[in-house]
Amino acid sequence: MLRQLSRFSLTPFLHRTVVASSRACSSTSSGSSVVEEQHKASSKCSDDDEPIELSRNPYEKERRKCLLCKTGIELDYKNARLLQQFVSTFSGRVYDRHITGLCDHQQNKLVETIAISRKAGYMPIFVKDPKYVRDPKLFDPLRPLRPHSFA
Amino acid sequence: MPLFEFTVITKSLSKADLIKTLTRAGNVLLEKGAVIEKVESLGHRDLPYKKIAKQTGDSVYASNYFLFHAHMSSPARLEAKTILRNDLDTVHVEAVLTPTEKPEFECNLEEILKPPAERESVQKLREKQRLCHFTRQLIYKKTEKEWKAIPKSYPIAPPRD
Repeated sequence: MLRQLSRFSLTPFLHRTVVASSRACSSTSSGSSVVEEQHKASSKCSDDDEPIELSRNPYEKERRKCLLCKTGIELDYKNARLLQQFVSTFSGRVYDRHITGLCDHQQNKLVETIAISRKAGYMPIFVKDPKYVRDPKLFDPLRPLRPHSFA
Repeated sequence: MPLFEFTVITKSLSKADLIKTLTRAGNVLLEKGAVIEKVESLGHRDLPYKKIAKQTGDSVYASNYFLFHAHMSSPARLEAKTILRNDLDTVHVEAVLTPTEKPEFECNLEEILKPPAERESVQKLREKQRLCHFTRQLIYKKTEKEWKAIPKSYPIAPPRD
């Protein structure tokens, strides 16, 4: 076990020397030249062994995106069913961005589109349409991103 | 000329009357110099809120939705809208401008999810922030009070072992 560990720690160096010796044995006629080549290669490798600096972090996490940006869904004033998923069942008002989890642009667009939709007669104004109350929930208003202000 | 979408909701009509109403609405748009690109029927739907038909005073709960895609100038749009709204067979008319170019934006949810100290908007506020004399004094007094509240020595000496 101990031997193996020591071997592992020296792996890159050991491996190279082993390869060199095997090659020297196989080609006895031009053995000296091969060894020289190997020496050259090893000297080159020593330069390459220096720590590499990467331009960016390969383990960096991907940026999280909001629901609408991720799925690429466009908000449309005629699509009242989608718009009403962002409306409270109890008060009929649009949920705030700390509940919907949308980015600033999408949230602003949502509020505008809902206003247009209500004006154009696609969406009820004071309530959520009872037809759509049982639609799947996109977010949980009781578990917001940030605490409610209650203001 | 910008593209407008005219939503026309009629009261409940027979098929012949519906055709008449729609041709009338289309002619109104054409008279105002519109170029009609497309006419769509969105079907017979429940209205989101009750409407009352003109003249007869019947309440309308479900009706036909129609959509006119028309290129026209903004003042002509207003005139056409008033005429269509005063039509006896329509219940609701609205003209909505469709945006031609979508604004470029980047999703900033990652920024929102950061703790406030790391958020750029908060950092900007902090840079601009200037404390007045009294606030500075208040903070100093508060910290001083906290510092003084820490006991420096035991009020009664601990028993010896």
